[in-house]
Amino acid sequence: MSTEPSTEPSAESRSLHQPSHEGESLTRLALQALLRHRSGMIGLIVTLALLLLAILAPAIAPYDPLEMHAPDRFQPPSRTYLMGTDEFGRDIFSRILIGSRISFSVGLVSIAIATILGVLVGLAAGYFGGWFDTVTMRFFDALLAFPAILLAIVILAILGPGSFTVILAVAIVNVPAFARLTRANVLAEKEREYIEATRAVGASASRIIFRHILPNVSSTLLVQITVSVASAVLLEAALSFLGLGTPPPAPSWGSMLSVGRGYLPLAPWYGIYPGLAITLLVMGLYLLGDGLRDALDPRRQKLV
Amino acid sequence: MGKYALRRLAQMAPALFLVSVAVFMIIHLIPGDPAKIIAGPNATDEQLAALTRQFGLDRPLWEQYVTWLGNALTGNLGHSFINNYPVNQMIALRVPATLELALAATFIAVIIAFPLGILAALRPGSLVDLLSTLFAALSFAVPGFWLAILLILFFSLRLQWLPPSGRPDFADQPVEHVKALIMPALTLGIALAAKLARYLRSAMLDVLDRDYVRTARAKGLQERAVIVRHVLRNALIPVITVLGLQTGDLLSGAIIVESVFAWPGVGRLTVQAIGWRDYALLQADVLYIVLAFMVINLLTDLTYGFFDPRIRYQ
Amino acid sequence: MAVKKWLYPLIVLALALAVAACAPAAPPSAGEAPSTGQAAAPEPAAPTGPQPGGTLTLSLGNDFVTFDPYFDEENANFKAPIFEAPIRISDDGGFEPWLAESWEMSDDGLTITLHLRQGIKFHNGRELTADDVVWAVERVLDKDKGYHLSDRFTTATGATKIDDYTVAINYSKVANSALDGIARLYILPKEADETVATQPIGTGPFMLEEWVPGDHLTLVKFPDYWREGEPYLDKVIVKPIPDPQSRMVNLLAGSIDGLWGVPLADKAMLEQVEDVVVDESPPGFSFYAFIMNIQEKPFDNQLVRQAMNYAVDRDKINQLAFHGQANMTMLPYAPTSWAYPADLEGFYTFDLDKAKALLAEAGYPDGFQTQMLIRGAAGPYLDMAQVYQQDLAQIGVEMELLPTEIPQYFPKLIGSEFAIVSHGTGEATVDPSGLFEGAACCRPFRNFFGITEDTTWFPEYKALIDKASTSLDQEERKALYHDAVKILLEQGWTIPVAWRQQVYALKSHVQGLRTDLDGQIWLNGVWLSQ
Repeated sequence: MSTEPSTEPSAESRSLHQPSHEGESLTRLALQALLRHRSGMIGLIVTLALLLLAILAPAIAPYDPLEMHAPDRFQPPSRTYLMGTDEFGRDIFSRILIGSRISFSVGLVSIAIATILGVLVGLAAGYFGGWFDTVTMRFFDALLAFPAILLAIVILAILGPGSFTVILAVAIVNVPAFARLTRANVLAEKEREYIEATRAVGASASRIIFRHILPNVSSTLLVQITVSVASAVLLEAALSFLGLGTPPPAPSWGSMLSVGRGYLPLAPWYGIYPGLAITLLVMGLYLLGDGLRDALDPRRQKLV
Repeated sequence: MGKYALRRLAQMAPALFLVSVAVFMIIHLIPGDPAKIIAGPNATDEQLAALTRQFGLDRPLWEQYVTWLGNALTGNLGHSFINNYPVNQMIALRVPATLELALAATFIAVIIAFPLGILAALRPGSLVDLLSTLFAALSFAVPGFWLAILLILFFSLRLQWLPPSGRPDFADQPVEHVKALIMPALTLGIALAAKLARYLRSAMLDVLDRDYVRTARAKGLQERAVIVRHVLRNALIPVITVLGLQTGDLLSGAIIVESVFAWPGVGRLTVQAIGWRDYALLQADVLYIVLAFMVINLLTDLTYGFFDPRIRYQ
Repeated sequence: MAVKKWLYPLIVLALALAVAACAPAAPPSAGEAPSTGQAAAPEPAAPTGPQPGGTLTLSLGNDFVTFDPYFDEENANFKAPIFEAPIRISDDGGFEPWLAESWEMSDDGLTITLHLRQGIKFHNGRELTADDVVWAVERVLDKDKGYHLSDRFTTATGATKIDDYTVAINYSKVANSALDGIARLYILPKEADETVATQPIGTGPFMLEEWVPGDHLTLVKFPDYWREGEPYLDKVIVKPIPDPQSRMVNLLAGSIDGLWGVPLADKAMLEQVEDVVVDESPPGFSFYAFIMNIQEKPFDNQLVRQAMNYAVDRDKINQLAFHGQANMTMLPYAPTSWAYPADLEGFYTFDLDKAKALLAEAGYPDGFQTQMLIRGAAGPYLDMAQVYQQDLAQIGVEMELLPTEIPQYFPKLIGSEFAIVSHGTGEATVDPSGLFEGAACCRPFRNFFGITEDTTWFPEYKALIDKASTSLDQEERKALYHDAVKILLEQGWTIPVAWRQQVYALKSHVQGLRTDLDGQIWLNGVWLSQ
């Protein structure tokens, strides 16, 4: 139920002990570790399966998600309508399939934006320090004091409604977490010997940052990305539930739940399936994130 | 310790002042003219002008802020644009509902999380540990509003035990009031429980590895004493941090839960104020949220002192 | 020492719990109607006559914003218990005497003389006289206050006292809607003007005892009420419960005796409940409509507008958006109105082929794209728009829906920042002129829909309306309104869809409640049969 970007407490501390060598063998070892991780694999499979469904949705949906079958409103799940119909007689299963595209697109795009912005700010703040560091980190701390949903609501009030502004709002809410994570990692790496050496050789700041520090930050970033996409999906659903997300008749899972809530006595399935879909997707991403975190944890790796 | 607390309280004042300025500016960033909104579609230009004057919106921004600040320092936080009622009373009316929900949810969370987290840490890899992991994963993935809907489906519609929404007056109907509190508190509490259990487990695992635990055991202390006096005490610190953060969240109003259960708390008030561009209400509301956070922060810091004798405040 | 420290947080916690448990103290409500439970068999209404006494608890939805009766804010339908006007809307859709025992209009139609009853007291004890009515008219004419009621007195110039109980209200032009204005001219004492927003003083059957915003409103019986025997109730309590589901739960549980605002989806279910009676306000005032801005392409083309009319399937909209519970309409007048133009009934039908042909003729054979501004983020406006959107898609019109929260919706509406809206309109008036004076959709002035003097058909439209509003011959007016509505339909920018009706539900022991065409709630004759 968390709509905030969050990580386990020791993720940051683990990354600080990461041995810094070539990316190659680390990736291969990490992948192998992931493949062996039971829950991580489940997460990966579930996420990929849902992604596949999302991509193929227009082709495999049995009905047009917008098509109203007037005489068939509030039909319980049956052979004809796998998950029943809604108040307009639209097939809920088809709507859920198409709705997955909304969840994925908002989740992935918003976190992509948040990652780019957050990492850039975090790299600058961590490496250069000074007033930029203080000001931005204080600002982010203040932002993090508010519940994510409240922040998102205010941002949407300023930017106005619409599908793209939702993506922006979710992105902005997630920037502080990425910035702080990156900054913490940069601060640790900055003091390492190899960085000192590179600096002594006369490499420019950007070269140091992008060619040396960033790759060593990437594994924790990957974990954070997965977890953040999960919470972005949740936040989008929550905003849609409140009526602030992608507008109808787009079959956003959150808005379907919001409407379904008003018809629970008539159509209980309407309140069950969209929530199930959200849970499944978020669970898959969460388990994947868990698996990635454990796989990339140097303590678990048999490395010299 | 008292002096430390006083010092912290004194530091809150300038912080609040800065926040009030920032919030004031941000609120006015939100597009939409409150006067137009409240005047409605049939308002003539004169009516609109009258409202604008009444809200003080025709004066420059800095002057509006200074007026607000002057009033605020005497305890007058202004009147809501929508119904002209004193803002601090509007918020004060909602605070008990939010507070009650926060406390109930925290209580539920603690009684679920503590046994679960402690046992999971003491028996890693066991069934309990697996359950706690599953519980954590599920509670992260299940959206609060869906859990709320499922609870309503089951306890209100199917079993007819609990009311689906609303908050009856405690003085009038105490039993109904408590019944109405259960589902919203459960919704929030279960989510919080899973998080707390995870943190507690992690923190305990961390501590269990430490030297002084080994020492305590070597000294021949009974296992239970070791756990309670050494492990738990130290593990509680990060847990209290998290609890503090979450409580702050709860105090600012669990917006979704209040929405689904029509629970008249501060969260819903905030959303309404944003929607109606009720600047006066919103300003006071955000300040309340920030103040609540600061107080919780302070309480959390003070509580550390109980658990870690190394932390001392002059 | 260590023990003591441990106690502190516990004490704080306990205190906080105590604070939380003590919700704002509500005065113990004596004689709250107990839950009737499920009776063995529904008893017929026992005709033993009104019993005095008892407390009625209602919920109207949102809380009151102001009690000033010249504003139409939240719960504007709850003025009658506290305030009264010289006349009121009668059950047959006309006017009947109230505070005034009779009235007459001068031959030139520019003066209305009211003969007030004697011995009517305000809640503060003072008697109502002609001076009060004169002052009330002065008050409503004060433009700076921005009263909503002022819109109904735009042609009034003032009032003159003829004697202590006779007043003449003067107009600069014949205004057939004058009586509608007077029916809402609630009389309040001048000395109570400053505080009326929170401490209303009127002549009605109930006085305000206490208002705790967000919690409840308590009214008590006014012992010196001018009508003998009324009211029967001792007390009325109004609780704001904004969430409709919550309201229903409270009604079913018996903690309130009546509620306003039943969601149409729940209406059928509620009607089945044994001890609950569901009713609705009469149709004929306000209606749902799709309205186009004729300054926005392609709605500047009359053929396109007509095509949009042919694409409205009212049966399907009723079934899907209103759960079959609405009264659909194509005309802006109800059959109960004397101005109802019966011969215009079938002006448009649901005919997608015709719509497509018209579009082609207009130059849009492949349709076009547009956006519809929706009043509210959810609700009937959105639902009916969704159905309409699907039908429009079949003729090539891609209409994107923009559900907009009310606070942002009205400024956009007023600023004409839209191409087409899903709206609710119609100003409640007994006189048919109200449609062309108050309703945003159809009036020729302050029109948000792009109708300006440059529009070709505007002069004819305006002339018809002006003539009808100043004529005193009902037959002549009926013909004029017929022609005005014909132009409205031909130009087709307003598409009436269904009547907006207030659905309310009461426990069966609540007798004698009256609502009028305006939706006003009259509690004068309410009594409780148990």
